[in-house]
Amino acid sequence: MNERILGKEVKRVDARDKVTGRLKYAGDLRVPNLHYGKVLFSAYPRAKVLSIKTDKAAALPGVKKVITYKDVKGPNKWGYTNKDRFLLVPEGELTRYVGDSIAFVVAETEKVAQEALKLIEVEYEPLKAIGTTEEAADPGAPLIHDYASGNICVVREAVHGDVESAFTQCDYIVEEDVDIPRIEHAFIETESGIAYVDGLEGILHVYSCLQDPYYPAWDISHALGIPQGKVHVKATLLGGGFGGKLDTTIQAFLAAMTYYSGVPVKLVLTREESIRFHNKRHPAKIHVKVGATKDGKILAMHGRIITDAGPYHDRTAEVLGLMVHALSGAYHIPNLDLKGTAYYTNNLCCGAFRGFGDPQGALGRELTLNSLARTMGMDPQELRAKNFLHDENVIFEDRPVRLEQIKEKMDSYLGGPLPAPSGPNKVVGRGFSFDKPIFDISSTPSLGKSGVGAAVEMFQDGSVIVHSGITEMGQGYKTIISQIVAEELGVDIEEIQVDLGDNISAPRAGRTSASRGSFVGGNSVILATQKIKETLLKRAAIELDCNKDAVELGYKKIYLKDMPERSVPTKDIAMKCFQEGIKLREESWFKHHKPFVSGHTYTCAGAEVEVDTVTGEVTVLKLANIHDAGKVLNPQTARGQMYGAALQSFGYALMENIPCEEGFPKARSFSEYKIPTALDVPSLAIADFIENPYPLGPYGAKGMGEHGINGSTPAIVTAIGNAIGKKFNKLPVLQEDIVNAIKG
Amino acid sequence: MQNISFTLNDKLVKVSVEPQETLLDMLRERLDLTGTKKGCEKGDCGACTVILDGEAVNSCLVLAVQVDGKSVTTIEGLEKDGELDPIQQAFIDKGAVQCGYCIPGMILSSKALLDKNPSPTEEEIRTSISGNLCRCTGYVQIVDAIKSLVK
Repeated sequence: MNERILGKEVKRVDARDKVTGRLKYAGDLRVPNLHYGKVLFSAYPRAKVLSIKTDKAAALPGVKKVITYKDVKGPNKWGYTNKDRFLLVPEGELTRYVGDSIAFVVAETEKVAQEALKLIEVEYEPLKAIGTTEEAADPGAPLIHDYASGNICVVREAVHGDVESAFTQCDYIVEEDVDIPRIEHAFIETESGIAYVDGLEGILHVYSCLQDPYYPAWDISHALGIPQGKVHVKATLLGGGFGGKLDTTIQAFLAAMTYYSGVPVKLVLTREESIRFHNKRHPAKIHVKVGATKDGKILAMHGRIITDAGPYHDRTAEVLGLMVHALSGAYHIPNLDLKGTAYYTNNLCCGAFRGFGDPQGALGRELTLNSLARTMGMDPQELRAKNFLHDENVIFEDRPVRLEQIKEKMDSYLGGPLPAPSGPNKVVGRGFSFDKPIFDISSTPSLGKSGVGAAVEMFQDGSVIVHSGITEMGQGYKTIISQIVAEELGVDIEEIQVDLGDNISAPRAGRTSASRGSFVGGNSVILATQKIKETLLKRAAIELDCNKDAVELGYKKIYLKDMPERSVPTKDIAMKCFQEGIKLREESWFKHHKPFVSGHTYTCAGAEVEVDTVTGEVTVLKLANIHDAGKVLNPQTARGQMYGAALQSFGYALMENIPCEEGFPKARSFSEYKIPTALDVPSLAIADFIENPYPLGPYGAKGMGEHGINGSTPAIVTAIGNAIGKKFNKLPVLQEDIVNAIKG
Repeated sequence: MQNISFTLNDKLVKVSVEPQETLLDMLRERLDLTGTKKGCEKGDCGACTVILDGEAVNSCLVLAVQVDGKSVTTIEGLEKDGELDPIQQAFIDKGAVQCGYCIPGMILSSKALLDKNPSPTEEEIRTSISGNLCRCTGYVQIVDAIKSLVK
């Protein structure tokens, strides 16, 4: 197929608004009579709320309303999976973390709202917080949720074959413990939005930065007890999400604020509030035992993961499931006994974060395989090549590329002899890792049955609008969809509007996560455009006085296949359709034949680092990702996704950690939680692709948004270890860790 | 309230401000110039960067009264008669924009650099934007965009 627009470096359709400051993010929106909201978060991770007195705050001039649980008419509960969070913690109940909300203030200005917060008197009885998974598992520990005995949030397992007897046939067995921290998304735009109600009985509108408009609408409707049909949730273009805005964040707060105060409300979390409130990447303690025969065939893996979910379930079951799945990665291991356990604690809540469990699993797996290769005296890449998945043992129609193909490309960037160190006391090393990240191709069981929807309409002037429930958070979805429509309907990008993330105007599409946006959204849009194309061709055939099969749609015209000079402009046909009442609006649903199925990509990450043996300072010289893309729909945005994800791994490997001490986070700002700056990251980042069309993908594309982070983290950690001849199993690898390792 | 006057995007403006009001809040709330973003209000993230008398500054750390008599350039001031500033165009062309939230600040930091030093080294470029945090791009295509303008 010879595409006109797809596969080309089309400039982002939202870039001009972004470079000029014109784009309105959620916190930039304004409506008449706008008031400002603030949230009183719990002062303690675990405490009994004895009393809440709001009189003084309510009396402050400029305060419109102070809202507590007493004002909430509905069940006052929200949350993904279990609806296990109080919207507002009632008197007599326990708080579960420092992100629980006790009261909302609505005032004329943000400053007054802030002042009013200080006047709310809450009497707490502080209780000892459960601050570690060990404390949570202690038989004497209090229960965070009455229904969760042993404070167990969820257990996920993957068992196959007979691990015990397989280990007896192994010539080499190694065991490693890998310790991975909790980390923060650090999107630069904090949770923000506005909300208002049309009249007394009208629709509640919430405009906010979010990755899924549908679930927050349910949370709002449930918590406040209002019909879901009255709740309109619209995603603004996000200032970064990375999974941190996947589930409901402040949307139910906003809804309660406007519903119970009767005025439009804006709420923008401060950075400190954002860090204490939103879900983090799960920390993990991973124990892996792996065994192989002397010729390098891995026979068995035994793995145990312990993770800290924080106080609420949210996405923990899904994240932990993937973490367990990722322990065996891109390798065929015939005998598996893998188990992950998540505990409830009073620490910060954890949930979705780019990679969704795979980065932790990949670290446990790749670092242990390095250890196995070292013990066997085998080249680590050779060990991986001997066990890499091939067609015959892949269960989901993945079309994996061969390891040799990925490796060959990687070698062209990070092959040959190591570069010379830049000076005395410097050493250089390389590390590689292979990974098999997932992308969602059929969504959750409920959406898997209906499929993922999109609506497309061509107007009588030939211009087009797309309604898609997927959101734009920087990944480039809006541009990819514009490219697809331009390709399918032969129109210019400028003639296309893409309306995103609206729970009312867009057919159900589910969440924007799991590297699924362009895949499921793209497929559903293609289906809708094909129906429109069909209608146009039929009508054009009448105009050209021929059979429908004799005409074809080209760029801005429909023409006779055998006589291309006989044609009619597409927009003229669109006008005819309008005048004759022929529908050019279609809703389509992309559906995989099996629900809850994932596709996989097969990737390699490589890092080349220089380590200062005196100071322990690490310079990442090169960071490369070779990615099995299926088909690259836009090389520029595709590279952007790979670079961005890969360089998030730089922070994961070397800098980032947000520990909690008895439930209190140890970082409240970007001066306490450092993320990489332009000076930290490697100047040579490489992203390259292998195009092996995937039959189910739009134009053969696979998902890719998250995939650069998974392998890059173990590659960097491995490279540092190789440079100094030591191994590191604990993240982040800090300068002092390196100095201590060198000392012995 | 205090009256101040200053040059904003080449035009003289007069504004009444609170003594404790930041330049950031004045721009966003009083003048409706929301292209200047709020990310941390502590000078850690650089999303609120504007150019003040030729220097890139965090507008969350500058009081509105401090700009009295000075010249401020915000992201809204770069486009002239529908023509983008070359740095804005370079960010589009090189794919430097993802979510875009850091981009106004990033563009103004790099503009302040290029106005003073049209031939910066990569190290100087990276230093000039090291106060502007970006979580999407890994800075790769941003640095490419700035480098493409080096004379």
